[in-house]
Amino acid sequence: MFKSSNRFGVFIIILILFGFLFQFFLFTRKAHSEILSTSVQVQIVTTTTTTTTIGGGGGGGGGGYTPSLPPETKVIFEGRAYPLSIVNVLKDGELAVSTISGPDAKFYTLIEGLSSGNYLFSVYSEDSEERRSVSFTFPVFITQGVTTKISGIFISPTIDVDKLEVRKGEIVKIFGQTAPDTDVTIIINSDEEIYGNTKSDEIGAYLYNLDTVGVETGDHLAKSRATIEEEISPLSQAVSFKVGTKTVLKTTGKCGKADLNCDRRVNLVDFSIAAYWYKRSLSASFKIFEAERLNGDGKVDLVDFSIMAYYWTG
Amino acid sequence: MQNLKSQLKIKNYVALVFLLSASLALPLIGQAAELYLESFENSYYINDTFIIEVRMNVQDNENINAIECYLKFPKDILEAKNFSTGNSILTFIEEPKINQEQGLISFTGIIPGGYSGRIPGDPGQSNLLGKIIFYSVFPGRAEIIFQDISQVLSSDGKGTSVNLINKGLTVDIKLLDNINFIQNEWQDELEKDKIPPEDFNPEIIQIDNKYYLAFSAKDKDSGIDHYKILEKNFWADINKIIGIAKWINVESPYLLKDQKLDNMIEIKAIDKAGNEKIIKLPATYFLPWYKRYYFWCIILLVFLCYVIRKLWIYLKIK
Repeated sequence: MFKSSNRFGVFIIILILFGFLFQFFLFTRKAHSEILSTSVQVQIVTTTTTTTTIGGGGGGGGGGYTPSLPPETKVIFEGRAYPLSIVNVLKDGELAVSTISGPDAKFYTLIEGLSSGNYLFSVYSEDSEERRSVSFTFPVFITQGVTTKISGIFISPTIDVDKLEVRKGEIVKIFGQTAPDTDVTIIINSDEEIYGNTKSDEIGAYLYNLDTVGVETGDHLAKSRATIEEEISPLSQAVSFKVGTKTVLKTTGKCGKADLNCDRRVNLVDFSIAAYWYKRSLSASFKIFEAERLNGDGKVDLVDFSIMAYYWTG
Repeated sequence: MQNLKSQLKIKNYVALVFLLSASLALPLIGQAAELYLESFENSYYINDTFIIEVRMNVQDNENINAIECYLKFPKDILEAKNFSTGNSILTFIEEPKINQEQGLISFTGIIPGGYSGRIPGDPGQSNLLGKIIFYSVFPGRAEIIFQDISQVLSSDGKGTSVNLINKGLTVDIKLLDNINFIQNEWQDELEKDKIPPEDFNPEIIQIDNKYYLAFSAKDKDSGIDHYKILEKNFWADINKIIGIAKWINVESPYLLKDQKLDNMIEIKAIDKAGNEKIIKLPATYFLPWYKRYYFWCIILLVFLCYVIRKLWIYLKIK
């Protein structure tokens, strides 16, 4: 009935329709993930502060005028982390100040004595099990004599799993810490996204038992985010697990990703070690580090530095 | 007639295939980063020195943490004099490179924690990657472009490459008609920069069982120009007292001469305007008494006093 040329044309039209449907599908998925990831309510407010002291008068010709003090330059950070957790603030990649959040997970800290210019600030926290949150990084232009207040910071939850691999049908525990009495959404990325909900307790700990009977076999990534009142945190780090034919419990390794000198920190020291090997042939001993703690392609290049920047602690 | 029909069919199929490709490519649009250049003016004159800023925008919830940038400029019209890292949001992996012979500029750096764009309320343009200082040598249309090998990577823990949009810049270089009006934007910046580099924390690290010094300073104005180091020992101290201390130019990481780490180290960060910041690192290991020079000075002094006293008594008796 149809000529071969007509059939080919119909085939192309079907492919085009498929392309538009595929794009529509991706658009809706992206829109959904955008709804989940549009969480930042951070605001920057700047105020100019001046302090003027005027000397009092008095008998005998005392008193007089004391010139005004130079205006202060400071940056204030406030937001929410985990109850009684250490909150670290990095300035241009180096640790500038640490504070401890309150039992309600709220924190407040400041950095003083900065000169005018662009600064890159990162805020992250460590929970009671020393798991680190994703860094919340933002550039700010600081003006001399101006107090800059950065508020609305909501540190993403920490997350971990109890198994590297789980036999299909068994439970895998997804847990971590966030602000207390907070709704936590768990997102499992696989071919089809799975969502779960739980609530953190009075110390901010949350636990979600994922029944893998309905989860496809293969590798999966889990993330979480917290919602309190109208504030939504950014997504946590992704933690991977596998649904397969056997169960393998997760053990805590001594050296984390990108931690080249194994001091539980990723900072200038690791950066400098990697910079030494950048565009050089790796020694036999360093190849092992590169395989374990970077991307394992046998060389140090921009991708390895990107991984390092992701795990940066300062 | 048959030929016309078949030609029409081929054109239809080409159009259909193009539409198919476009429909599949559409999801990629909107997830990208943009590298662009900015200058203060659109045209300059011969012998002018001017600044081109390299900046980055991030689109659609993307978070970038690594950049490798290659730029091409017309080497017959422009001379690239310098690259300023002042106020950059990047931590540079190595010193930016200028190859005047080939008309190429390259730099590579990371943004610890990533960059997602400006935050509402931010009073400044905090997306600066670096500044290139050009000197115009010949009239013409100078087109500065990003090369396709430039890349930016996502802050996803895997270093995934991100779609990149590059926007170069064209600057007109005109013949000079009045020698009194030669511009030097860079000199103006250097003259304004009176602030030394920020405090920094050098660290001693080990690579292949050897001790190195790692350091990285930041300067919010003209940018760091170079570093110098002085590894202190007895002779370095003497040289410093008499004013001939030998500071040597270094890059991070620097292989320390003193592998026993029992001497103090002084490191100096100098910005492009000549302002300096010196950081002193105390000795890592306790110096044994026989290596402390002031101990020997005291011994020598006591010995000299003894000799002088003996000589005095001898001369007195005589």
